[in-house]
Amino acid sequence: MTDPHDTEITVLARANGLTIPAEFHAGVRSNLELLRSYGALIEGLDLPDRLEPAFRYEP
Amino acid sequence: MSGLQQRTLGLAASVRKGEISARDLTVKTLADIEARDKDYNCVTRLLMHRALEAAERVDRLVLQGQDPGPLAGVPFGIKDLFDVRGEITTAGSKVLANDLPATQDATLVAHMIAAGAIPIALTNMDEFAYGFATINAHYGNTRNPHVPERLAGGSSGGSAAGVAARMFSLGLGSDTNGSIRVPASLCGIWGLRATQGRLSVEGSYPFVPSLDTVGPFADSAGGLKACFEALCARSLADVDVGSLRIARLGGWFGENMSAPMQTAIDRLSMALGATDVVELPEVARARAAAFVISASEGAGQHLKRLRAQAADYDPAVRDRLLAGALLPSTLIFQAHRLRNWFRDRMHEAFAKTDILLAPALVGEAPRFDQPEIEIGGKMVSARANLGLYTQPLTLAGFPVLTAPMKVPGLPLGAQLIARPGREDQLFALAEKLEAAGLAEARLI
Repeated sequence: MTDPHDTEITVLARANGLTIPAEFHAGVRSNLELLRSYGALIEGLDLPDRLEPAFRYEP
Repeated sequence: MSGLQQRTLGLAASVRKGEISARDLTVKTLADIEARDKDYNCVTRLLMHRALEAAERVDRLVLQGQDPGPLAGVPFGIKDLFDVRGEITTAGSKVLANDLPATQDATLVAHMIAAGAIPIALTNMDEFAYGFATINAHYGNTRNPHVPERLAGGSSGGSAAGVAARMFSLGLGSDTNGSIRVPASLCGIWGLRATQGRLSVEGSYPFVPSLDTVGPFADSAGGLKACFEALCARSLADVDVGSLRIARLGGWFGENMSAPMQTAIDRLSMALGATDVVELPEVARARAAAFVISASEGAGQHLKRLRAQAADYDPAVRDRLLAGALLPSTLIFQAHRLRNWFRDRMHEAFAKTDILLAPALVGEAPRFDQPEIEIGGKMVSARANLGLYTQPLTLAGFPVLTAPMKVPGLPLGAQLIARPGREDQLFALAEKLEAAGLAEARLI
């Protein structure tokens, strides 16, 4: 049976034109889980709707 | 005794006075690197021809009674992501190995040569600057000159370790999430992440364009300042160091330190009268935003090649980049909004202070065979968490100088943080620390 995590990586990769070989999946998955934990932190902070992104950034 | 025997300013003074020939010094330095670098792997290529060409120019100017520049004859290492005329810029990777050689020097390299410095070697790095360790599957690992079984730190580890090993006096590196501050701290030398946008990145291979900065390493506080002045091609005004208000960063930056780092930071704070503690809010989220922006932009930078030749990358870097390519774009948008929010909190932190003090890392250099360290009571990846204290500050783009604290045991660095554009205050404090014997580059 196909691991649902492998299926998810395959589908997400395809959306960006990537084919990720099965032997890379374990490393990619652990990095993706780490990034998702950081993503949850970012999205956990309520920011005002009118706050602009920092695309034109000056410190 | 091998290695350079004078520090930057003393060396430049001797060459400027004609007491030492820049050519003789360069020949000796090249031979010294060839003989000793096998123990550390700081250098990926010697720049024999360019070094001798620059040295002969310096000697000629001295002979003619003309000014050879403030860094006359001083050898410097160049992280292999800066263009050097006639050389292929590999950025620590094999996938660029078939690129054409650079047709001109990166702006910072050109500025160093114009100031009389000698481009002596290209230096090792994590592939595409994506790492804190200078562990590189293609070019090998750079070892810490103080304890070769430990990491030099990264990603600019070759430049930092080469300064610590007296192979060159100054080094050029880049710092996106801590790639100058981490190796400077672990190797016991001075390093500067300049204000975002202050030093030109032209001619350097990008990692995360939103966060990338470039900057110097040095064997002394005076050398670091002179190098920075050469890099931005202007002199800094003097600063009344006695008037600087210094506070310590608490909260996130006061937790998880090793006992030696805690002692060193306490001692430095006390010596500087930094009794006020400032807490930045939401530091974990700021670090998370830097992580996510790095992974996403890094992936975007390499997407076409990842589609065609992912197997040619360093496996550790490849997996980080591929994971970054799978993130939703909405998250990147949120991270950039958080960045603006955090910048405002950083400015507020400077309301009553000029300099903030924080540890550069949780402790001393990890061993190569020690993959985990304890953070918050959990065992986590040592390599991924070397940037625990550097990465959140990255997000705001403020200037940060790493000072090598004078400590027993292995090297430990402190971060000195100033308002944007106030590197002059950082250098004034650095020179004071050095003069007072509180900080000093440790060279082997």
